[in-house]
Amino acid sequence: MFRSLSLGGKIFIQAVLIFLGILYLVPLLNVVYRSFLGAGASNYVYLFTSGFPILRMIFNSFLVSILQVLVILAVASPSAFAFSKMNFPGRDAIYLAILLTMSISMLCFITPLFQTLKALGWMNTYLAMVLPAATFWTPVAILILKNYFDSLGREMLEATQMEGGGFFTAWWKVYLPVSRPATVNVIVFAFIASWNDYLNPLLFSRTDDMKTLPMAVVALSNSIYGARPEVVAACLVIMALPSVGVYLLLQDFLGEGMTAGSVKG
Amino acid sequence: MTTTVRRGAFRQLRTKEILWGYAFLLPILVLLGLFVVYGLFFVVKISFYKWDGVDPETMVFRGLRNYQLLLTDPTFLMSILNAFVFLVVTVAVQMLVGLLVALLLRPKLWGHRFFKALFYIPVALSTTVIATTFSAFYEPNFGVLNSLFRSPVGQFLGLTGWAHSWLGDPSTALGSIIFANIFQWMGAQMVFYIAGLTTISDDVFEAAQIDGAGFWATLRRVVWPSLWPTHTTVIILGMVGAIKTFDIVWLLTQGGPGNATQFPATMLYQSVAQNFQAGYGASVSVVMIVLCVVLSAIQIAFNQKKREA
Repeated sequence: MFRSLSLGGKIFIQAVLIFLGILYLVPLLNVVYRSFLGAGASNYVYLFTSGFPILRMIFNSFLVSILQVLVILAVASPSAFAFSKMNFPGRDAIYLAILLTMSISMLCFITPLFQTLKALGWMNTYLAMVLPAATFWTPVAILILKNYFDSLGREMLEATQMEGGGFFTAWWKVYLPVSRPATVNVIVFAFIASWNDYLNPLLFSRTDDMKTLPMAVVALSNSIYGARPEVVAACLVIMALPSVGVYLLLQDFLGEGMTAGSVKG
Repeated sequence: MTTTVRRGAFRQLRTKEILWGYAFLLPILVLLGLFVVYGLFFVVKISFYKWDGVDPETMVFRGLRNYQLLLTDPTFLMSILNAFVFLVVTVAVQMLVGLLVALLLRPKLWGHRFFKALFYIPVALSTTVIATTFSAFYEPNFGVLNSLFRSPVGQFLGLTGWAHSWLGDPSTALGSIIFANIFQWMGAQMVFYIAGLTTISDDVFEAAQIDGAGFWATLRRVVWPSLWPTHTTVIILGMVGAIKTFDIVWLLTQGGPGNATQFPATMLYQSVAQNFQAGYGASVSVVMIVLCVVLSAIQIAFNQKKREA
């Protein structure tokens, strides 16, 4: 079917690929094209100078995404290590329970989340934007990291213990550095998921100065500043650059995370 | 003497291991406890109450009434039906197109790396970008789709009559959303199938060819059956996706026109955030949570079996 592909077969495959490629390329390029319609690059200048708090929203997006990634890694890596390499009562039951929560949408807990965040006084703060969403993404990260730790064996832990090191040293000095490929996957997919997330700012940000970019686009379309579709398109392009850029730059390092990352959607 | 010392040292190490094990789990258990476990009890509890979600004093116990109402609520029944249609169409198309694209990329012809990256880009894009793009595409007056149908080519093909408000017409709104959703996520299925296809060696294809099996026969008898692990993943993820689909629908139609694109998640959001029916919304949450947990359990059991096999 493949090695002995005839010339006709090759041309057919190439033609179908190019057709599908155009189908995908046109809408994507169209957004870029529309962002320059009319006033050209001035659309971008307008976006930054019209008084709409776009810089603050870009800052919010970076801050929230980076903090979420840090929380996810800090929480997921040690627990994945414990699930993979250590023995203690209840380990497998807890792991199973965590996996079962993996596909539940944060939206299902909207009322209790509001109650909890209100009680803590966190509503419309960065804590509210970071912690719940990070919690709901962490099970996927634990799954990716535990699978990787499983492939590493227990010898490095025993070697560390021979030298008088404890479990924390084994995780921090040995297993965490060695698990870099899986960790990179978690960083990239958690960042993309967080950067793109619409539900999180919809639920937890109340004022424009706390919104992240996915809400910026909506706020912009409805505001006095950006009723013009070219300006909205410019905002879309700015929003797309980091997530697509990270993916394109690191795509060669992304293995199973690409499939696991899609789990969370 | 030495054995007791050693046994003591061993017991000390065991205790240390157990304590450190729980210490490593402490952060995730605190977070899950605060946001998920507490949330679960809370949601189950208020699903038995009538409550606006604001003032705890106004909670009124009403037993299973919310669930009874749910079973006769046209909005909820419509949301389940829509999710089901969405699921069947999305999964069927994604399986076929995802597998087709993965197969087309396998011979590594000209530009295969470019095409693979291109098809995956929408997965890395925010749904906000996808929704805004398709909103412009479907726009009734100047949108790309209607412009095409009204163009001379469209007139020549007799398609001008097709031009209408795609998202405003109840008969095409759901289909339009499904199309946008497939466009966004096809790259993910492609990646699943590329991974699945690596388990089939070129020799299998060669052998099939020597046997005289043609392209389609090879696909049907060899490739398709051996990809069942991948099919299962795609189907289960499609089910989970259909149950929790929210952002693309909310951004494009907010569940309308009428209930034409209502989904469980949009109905839940409307009940709680717009209609102040936190108790009623919680009963929708409970249904969604049960479905998601059951599907996850099936997926986990399946992966377990695969690993043992």
